[in-house]
Amino acid sequence: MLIEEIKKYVINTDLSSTQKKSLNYFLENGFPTTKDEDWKYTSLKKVLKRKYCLKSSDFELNDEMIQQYSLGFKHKLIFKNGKIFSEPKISGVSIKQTSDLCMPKNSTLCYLNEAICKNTYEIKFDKNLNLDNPIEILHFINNNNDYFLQLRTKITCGSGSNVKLVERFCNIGKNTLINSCMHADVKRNSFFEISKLQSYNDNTHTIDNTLIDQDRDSTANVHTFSFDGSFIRNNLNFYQNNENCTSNMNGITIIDKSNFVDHHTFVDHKFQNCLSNESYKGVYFDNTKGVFNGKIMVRPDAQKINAFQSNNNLLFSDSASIKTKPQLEIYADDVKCSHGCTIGQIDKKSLFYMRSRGFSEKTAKGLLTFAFLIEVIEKLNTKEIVDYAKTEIAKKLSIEKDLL
Amino acid sequence: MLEIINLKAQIEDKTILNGVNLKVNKGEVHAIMGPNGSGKSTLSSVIAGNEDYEVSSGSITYEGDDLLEMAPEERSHRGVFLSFQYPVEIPGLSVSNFIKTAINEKRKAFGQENISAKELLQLFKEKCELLNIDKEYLSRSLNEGFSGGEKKRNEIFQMAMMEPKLSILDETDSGLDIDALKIVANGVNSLKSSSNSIILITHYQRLLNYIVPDFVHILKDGKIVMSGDKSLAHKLEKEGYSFLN
Repeated sequence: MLIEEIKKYVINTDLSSTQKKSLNYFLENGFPTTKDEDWKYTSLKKVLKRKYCLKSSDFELNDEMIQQYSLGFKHKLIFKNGKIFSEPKISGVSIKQTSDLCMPKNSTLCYLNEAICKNTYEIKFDKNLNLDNPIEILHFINNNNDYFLQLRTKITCGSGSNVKLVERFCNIGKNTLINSCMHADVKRNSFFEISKLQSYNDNTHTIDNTLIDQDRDSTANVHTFSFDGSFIRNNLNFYQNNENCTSNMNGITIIDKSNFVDHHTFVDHKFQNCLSNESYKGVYFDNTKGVFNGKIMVRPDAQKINAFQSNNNLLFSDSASIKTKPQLEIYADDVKCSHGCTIGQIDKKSLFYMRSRGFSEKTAKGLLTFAFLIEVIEKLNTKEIVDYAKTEIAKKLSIEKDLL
Repeated sequence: MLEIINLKAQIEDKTILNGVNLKVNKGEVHAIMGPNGSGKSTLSSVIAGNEDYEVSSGSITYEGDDLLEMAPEERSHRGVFLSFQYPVEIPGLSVSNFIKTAINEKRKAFGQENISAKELLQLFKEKCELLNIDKEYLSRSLNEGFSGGEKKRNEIFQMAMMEPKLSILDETDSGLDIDALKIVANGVNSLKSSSNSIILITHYQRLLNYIVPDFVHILKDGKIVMSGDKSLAHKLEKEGYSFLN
């Protein structure tokens, strides 16, 4: 059904040769299904069932709405249904729209995105630019009908630059399926960090594809907070294209109701003396389902690699579930790789200990859960992000934020 | 303050307490001694409200109310404190935040305001001095990486901070070297008053040299088989539990 809609949509659209190729590739292969290894536990069937339109309609966006979703950063880059609404003026930063831009891909959804996304943006950070404050990217989404939205951003961090971004999607409209592709080109000796705040409403289904190319001596950090939204699939790929790269991934997932979150991460260690560090923690209430798949590839020449991965999960209900899978492929012999995943419940002994000290069951469970998450929170270095995380965590655990 | 009448309790299908009777008045110190497996720790767990144990008959009255009807946190709010034989480790939760929250949960239960930062700091300072504790320790994760002795001292520190009416010290002396034992005993003695009571659960008479009990009870096969004054503990130390036979 959606495929028909896509075919109809492209008839009236001028596509470049790259876009045509991508479109054909997508039409030949279609949306991923559970027959694909990478989508084994993640079915798009229900998500794709709706009758989405691909055309956007306009809506009014005012300061009050922006303030409601903003964490209060000085620099704001605001999008309305994928189109720039307002941009910060920062010396050394250029933001421009392009129509045709080839980016790396990790699923057929990236091909589709390349073929039909109308608003592709390139954000360039000059060489040696030291961004004083993070840039807060807010995507406001609102459409008259159920909506299939493509977002497409290319980020270039010039060598020696220091860049922090915060990204948040705010759907204030009908059912929306977001297919977002972001490619970051992190040049030599630069630092790139993005925090993804996934606090969507129940009408939002998201597929987030983030691909990061790293050059020599660079560091890239991605923090992913998944708190709300009925369907979230994150594809996060790091490519270490030279020596001495560091890739850090941190994730906090706390979901309830019947929501679904899937984290698929991939680190490609291609060169020697590199590091990757991955820590994902998940808390699952009610009828939620989670998936974690962490793939680490160490290629034959990638000696002296340190790769750490952990995925720890707490299940709060008998009907919640998590499928977790570390996937290590190591073809070099002088490397250090470790991985671990756990699935458990709140420790009964700890709970009794705290209750016998006067903690209500709710407070005890909340603080034990927060203690479980703190290792990831301690890795965050932006005050506003820590504050956001604590606010959302307290809300999910129904405890006062002051206790955290 | 506390009256236990014909208390029977079991875990799964195994009966552990088989008719315990005990009366503790305000200001008294009671020691409960007994061989391994006699039910000492079960008794303390039942008083604190551990739901792993099922009370099959009998009653516990605390300040005139049915203690068994109360949730563990309610017992704590009412002034019951159990110093655990095996305190749990909670990585990621600091000692200071743990104790602060414990104090505030109690205050909340009585509709009182949270403790002020100044008041809390003063209390921490005072009690750290009492138990010879370095203040740095307050920012450590609760019991994580603590030695056996440090864990026990931490329990007594919590007791000092929470000022309970009825304290049950479950084998607080085990794992303590002689210096630490003196510090802990000294702390407990200074918390003793005419309005609160203490139940000491111990294997050995050693602790009783430092915290002198008003009554000594011997628990065997889930029953108190003998009661007396502190001389009973000395007799036990000399002759062992075999004299009971």
